[in-house]
Amino acid sequence: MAKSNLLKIIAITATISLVGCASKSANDTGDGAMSTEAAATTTEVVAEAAPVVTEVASEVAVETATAPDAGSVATTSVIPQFKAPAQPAYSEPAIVRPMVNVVYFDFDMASINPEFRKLLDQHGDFLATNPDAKAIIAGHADERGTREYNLALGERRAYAVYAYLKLRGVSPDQLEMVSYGEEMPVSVGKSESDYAKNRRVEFNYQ
Amino acid sequence: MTFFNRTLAVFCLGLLVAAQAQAEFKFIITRGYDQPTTVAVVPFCWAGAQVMPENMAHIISADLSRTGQYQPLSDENMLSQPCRHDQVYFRDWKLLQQDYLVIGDIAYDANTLKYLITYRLYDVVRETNVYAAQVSGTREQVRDLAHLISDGVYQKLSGIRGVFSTKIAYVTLNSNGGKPVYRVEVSDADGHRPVELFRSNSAIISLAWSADGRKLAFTHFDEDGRTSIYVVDRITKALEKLPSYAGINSAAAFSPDGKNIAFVNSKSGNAEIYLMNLSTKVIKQLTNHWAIDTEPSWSPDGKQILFTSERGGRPQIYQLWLDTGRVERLTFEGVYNARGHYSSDGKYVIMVHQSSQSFHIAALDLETRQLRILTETELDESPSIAPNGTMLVYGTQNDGRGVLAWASVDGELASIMPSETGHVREPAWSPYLQ
Repeated sequence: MAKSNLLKIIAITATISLVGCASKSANDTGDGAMSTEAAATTTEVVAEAAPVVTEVASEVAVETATAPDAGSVATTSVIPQFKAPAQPAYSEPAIVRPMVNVVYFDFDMASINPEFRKLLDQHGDFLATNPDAKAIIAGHADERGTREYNLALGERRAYAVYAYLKLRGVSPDQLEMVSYGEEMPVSVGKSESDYAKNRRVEFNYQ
Repeated sequence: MTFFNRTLAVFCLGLLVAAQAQAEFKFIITRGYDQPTTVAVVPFCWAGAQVMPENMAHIISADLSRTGQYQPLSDENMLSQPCRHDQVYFRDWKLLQQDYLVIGDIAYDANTLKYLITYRLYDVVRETNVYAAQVSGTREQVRDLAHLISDGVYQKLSGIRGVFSTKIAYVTLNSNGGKPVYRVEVSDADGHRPVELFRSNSAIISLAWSADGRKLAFTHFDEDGRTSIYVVDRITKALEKLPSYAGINSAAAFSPDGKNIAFVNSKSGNAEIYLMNLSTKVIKQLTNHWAIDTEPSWSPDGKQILFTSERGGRPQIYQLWLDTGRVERLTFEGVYNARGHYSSDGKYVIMVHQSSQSFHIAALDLETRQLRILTETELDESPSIAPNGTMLVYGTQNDGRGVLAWASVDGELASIMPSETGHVREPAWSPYLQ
C-alpha cells in the first residue's frame, strides 16, 4: 500500500517535472524558441518598415518643407526680411537623417530598385551636408545559394549603394562597405517574403 | 518549493544531457542500397576486471551501417558469440543469413597500459577466415581502435580504404541568453567526441583543412561585418589571424603542399581570388574580372584551382590553370553552380547545384562531363568529400535547423543527423590523419 502510494507520488512528480521542463525549455534551452522569438520581433519591425518606406520618406519630406512654419519660424521667417530677397532661407530647410536605414534588392541582383532612390537621395543629402557623419554600408543576402557567394553578393549590394551616394556628393571617406552575406537574416522563414526582407543594405551610422 | 525547483532543475538537466548525447549521434538513413551485405560483429571478449569504456563491436557495427552498404546484426539475434577462431560455427551464421562475421578478443598489458585487440573477419559462405589483425592503444584510444578495426574490415570487404578514423569539422550556432554563440568544432567521423577549437558571438563560415589534417582555416566576422581568416591548430588549438586587407577576407583553401592558401579579397572593390604564402604572407592576385570570383578549391596535384564566378551572368564553376592562367568554364547545366571541390582522385567535381527552385549537391564527371544530382533535401550547401571519394557530408535544413547530412557519391545512400540543439553547418571532412 505504502509502496504503491510512493509510486504514485513519484509518477506525479515526474509528470509535473516533465511539464515544468517543457515550459522551462521553451524559455531558456531551445535556440529555436529563442531565435523565433527574436525573429518575430524583428520581422514585425521590418514588415512595418518595408511597405512604409516611401510613405515615411514622403512624410519626412513634408515635414522639412513645412518646417519654417513651426520650430524654425524665428529664423526662417524673420531672417529673409533682413537679407536680400534672392536668398530665401526657407527653401533650404535643415536636412535631417532619414529614419529608414534599409533598402531592399531582388534575388541575386545588386541594382538599386527605383522605389528606393528617394530614400537614398535623402541619405546622400544628409551625408553630403554633414561631412563628419560616417556610416557603415552593410550588404546582406538571403540564405539561398552558398555562403561565400552571398558574402560577395552582399558586398556588391553595398557597393551599389556606395556608387549611388557618391554621385550625390558623398565623400568616399564617409563610408565603409561591409557584407554579412546570409549570416544576419532579419526573417528566418523560408518564404519569398522572408527572403525579400533579408536581401538588403543597411546604413549603420557611426 | 526551492527543493522542488532544484529537483526539477537537476531532473531537466539530466533529460537535456541525455537528449544531447543522443541527438549528436543519431544518423537516420533516408535512402539506402537495395541489398546491403550482412556483417555480424560479435561483442568482443574481455576478461579484465575493469569495465571496458566502450562497446567496440557496437562502434564497428555503427561505422559499417553508416555506409549503407553493410547491415549489422543485433546482439540478441546472435545464436552464438564466439571470440576465438576455434569457437566459430559457420552454420550459426548461415542460418542467420550473414555474409560476413567479425570477432575480437581484448587483452590488457599492465606494463604498457595498453589494450591489445585481436580481430578476425570471416567469409561465412566460403567458411574462411579472410583477415586477421591486431590493434593496440590506451584506454583513451578505445574509440580510435574500434574505428581502426572498422577501417580494416571495410578495406578487406570493399577494396577501398575506410574513412572511419577521419574527423569532421563544422560550425555550430546556439543561443545563449539571446546572444548567438558560434563554435568551430572537430569530431570523429561518427559525430562522437566533439572538441571546440574556437568560439565567438559573431559569425564563422568556410572551414578548410590543411592537407596534413593538422590545421583548419576559417572566416570570422567582427561585430561591424569585417571578415578575416584565422588558422587554428587542431591539436594545440593555437590560433593565428592572417593579415587582412580592405573588404572581404574569406574562403581560404590550403594548397596540397601546405605552403599557400588561396583566398578571396575585395580590396579592389570586387571579390577576386588571391594566393597567400603562409610563411612570407606575400599575396598574389590570381583572378581579375569585374564579376564576383570566389570559393577557390585546389586540384589534388595543386596545378589548378576551381572557383565560382558570375562572369557568365549567373554563378558557375570555372577552372584556372595556375601555370598559364587559362580559365575554362566547367558547368553549363542548371542556373546556379557554386562551391566546387575536386574529388581526391581529381576525376570529378562536387558542387552546390540549382536546377529549378531547390539547391542540391551534384557531382560532375570531368571526363564525360555528365552532372549527377546526389541529394533530395533542399537548401543543400557546403559539400565536402571524404578522402576515399565514396561519401560526402553537406549542410542542409531539417525542421528549421541547420543539420549535417551525408550522401554517397554513387547517389544510392542518403542519411541525415537531426539536431535538437541549435544549428550545425559548414561541414568539412578531414583528409586521412596520421
